[in-house]
Amino acid sequence: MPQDRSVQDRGVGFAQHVEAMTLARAQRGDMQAFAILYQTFGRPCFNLALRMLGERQQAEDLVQEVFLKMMDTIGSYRGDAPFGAWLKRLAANACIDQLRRQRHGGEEDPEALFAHLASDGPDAASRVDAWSLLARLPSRARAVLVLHEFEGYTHTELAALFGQSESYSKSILARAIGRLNALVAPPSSTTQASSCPPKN
Amino acid sequence: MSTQELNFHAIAQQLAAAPPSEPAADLWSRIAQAHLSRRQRRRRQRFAGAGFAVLAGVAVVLIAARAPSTGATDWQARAQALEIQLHARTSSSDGENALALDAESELVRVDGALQAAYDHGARKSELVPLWKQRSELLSALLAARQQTLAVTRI
Repeated sequence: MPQDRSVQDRGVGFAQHVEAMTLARAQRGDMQAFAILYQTFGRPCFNLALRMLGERQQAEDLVQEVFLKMMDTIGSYRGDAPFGAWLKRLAANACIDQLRRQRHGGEEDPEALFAHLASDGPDAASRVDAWSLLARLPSRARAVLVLHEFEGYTHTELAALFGQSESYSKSILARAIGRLNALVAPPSSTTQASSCPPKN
Repeated sequence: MSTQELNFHAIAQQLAAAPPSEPAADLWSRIAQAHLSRRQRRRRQRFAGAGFAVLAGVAVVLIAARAPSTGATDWQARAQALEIQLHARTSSSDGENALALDAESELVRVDGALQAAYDHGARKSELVPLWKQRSELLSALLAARQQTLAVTRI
């Protein structure tokens, strides 16, 4: 059925297709076209922000910031990349800017980034909830892990986004995975797991 | 595959399988409202900017329009141009009418006043009316001589 195929082609998340007519109307400032773009990408954008920032309110503020920026700059979108990819880049950059504003220092050093984490492990319920585990990572480490593991960013792209080297991104990711593994490990083996050297 | 990878694999699977979270239902209306407010603010700023530009333009035009009536240089230049024309007419004219004679005597008086003004280092505001007066007298004299010339030819 043509309708089924159209639904299949639409994709999910940021990979959803947007009609050229909708984009053209949005570029002319049409609010209805902007509403369609929000209906399509508002949720993926919110989920990316929520995973990276860890708080609903911050994630909603970020979605607002991203869509306002999109409405201002959509005129510069030339269609070189799919619109969803362009918007995802805007959202990721906004998240990283937000993390930069929140930084407390010492985040240039992967060692220091994990040094001040609470030493107590999660309770039994949190140990089986991936979201709770993710929330226990330092914000920057969570951002690297989400972008690399769930959004498909390469270390080269992450290095450019964070203004750091590729080895920094690799080191943060390895430590974040190590930290998550330590958190889900049974309490008796936590010390052993968290002392594992980072994987590059 | 190590235990670590298995653990992380399980976490990643759980995160990937988790249903997406929904933002607040009124988030779009807040975004649309913020966008419209920003657009209105920018429009007001543009109008204010355009209004200021128009006012500045009007001010420039007014200043430019006023400049010839108050500028000493313009009256002086005009008077000198009229003087050249007057000399040309004088050489070809045969006589003077009463109007021309009056203008000439008045011109002598104004020339004297101008000379005195320059001698005592008069300000521009004092010189401009004299140059204007001289220019007007020269115009009258020129017109009178032109009239005399026309009568002579008839």
